[in-house]
Amino acid sequence: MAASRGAVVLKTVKKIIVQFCPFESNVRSTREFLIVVGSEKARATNMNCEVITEVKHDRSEPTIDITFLDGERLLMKGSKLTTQELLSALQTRCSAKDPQAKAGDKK
Amino acid sequence: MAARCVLQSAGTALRSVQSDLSSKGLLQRTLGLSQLTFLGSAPCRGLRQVVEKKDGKTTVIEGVIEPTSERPQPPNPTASCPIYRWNLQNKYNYTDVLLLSQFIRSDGGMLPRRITGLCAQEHTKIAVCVQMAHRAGELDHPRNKYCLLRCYRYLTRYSVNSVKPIYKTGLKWCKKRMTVGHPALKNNIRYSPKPLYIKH
Repeated sequence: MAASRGAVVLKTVKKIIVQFCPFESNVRSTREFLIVVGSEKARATNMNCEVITEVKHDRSEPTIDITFLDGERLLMKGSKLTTQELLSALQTRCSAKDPQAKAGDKK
Repeated sequence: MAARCVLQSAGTALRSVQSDLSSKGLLQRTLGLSQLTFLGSAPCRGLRQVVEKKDGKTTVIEGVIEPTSERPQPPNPTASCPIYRWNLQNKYNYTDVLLLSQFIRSDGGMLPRRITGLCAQEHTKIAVCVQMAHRAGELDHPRNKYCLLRCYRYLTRYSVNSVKPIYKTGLKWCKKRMTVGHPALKNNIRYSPKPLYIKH
């Protein structure tokens, strides 16, 4: 399901920090997001992008903090969001940021 | 016929709908639990909304659960079957479409018992009533098998193409009886002393 929409393109992303507590029950979507983003396909799209995982045990909310190349930050609280939503939010923002070059190439 | 209260399904629909974030800044609604028993005898939560806030260079996306609206308390909350909870055991008929439509799918079929939470007898009774209502043409979702004949109330017992309408019923000594209704509803409340009359 997450892989069906193709690998995420991380060309415009500088850093992704995924922070969650693995023993909580509401972290499933965050974990799956981490799997997709940390996969070889996603990392191959941008070798400079860092994916940092922080494992916490203080019952805090799972958060995903994404820093883009133009300085913008996207903070997603994954406790009540589905994996699809997290991925599609990231996808839309990435393709919007690096649009003209890509869309021009594709067309 | 019988007094029926319009039971609220309170937005906790019995089918799950998934939708993605279509574009930035649009609020999307997705349903909380995909499978909920009817009238929420299982603990249920309200609808979830994806909220996006932008301040300066940081955008925060999170899911927010809306509080459920106040629902009326059923008169008998400690029963497992929703019909017994609202004390409608023997009081409904095939004409009570508002009640029956809460147990049917969008294409007109019945919902399974494990989803609605009905007990076995009530489930069969409702299934029978739904079938009769389809044949009488009262429900808005016509299934392919049933054409919309609005006459002949006895056509609710048999399937529409299997019997022909009785144009001349005959005199009392040679009457062509037509069956109306279903014996599953024989326990319905009657305000007259006569028993349920099926062979009209």
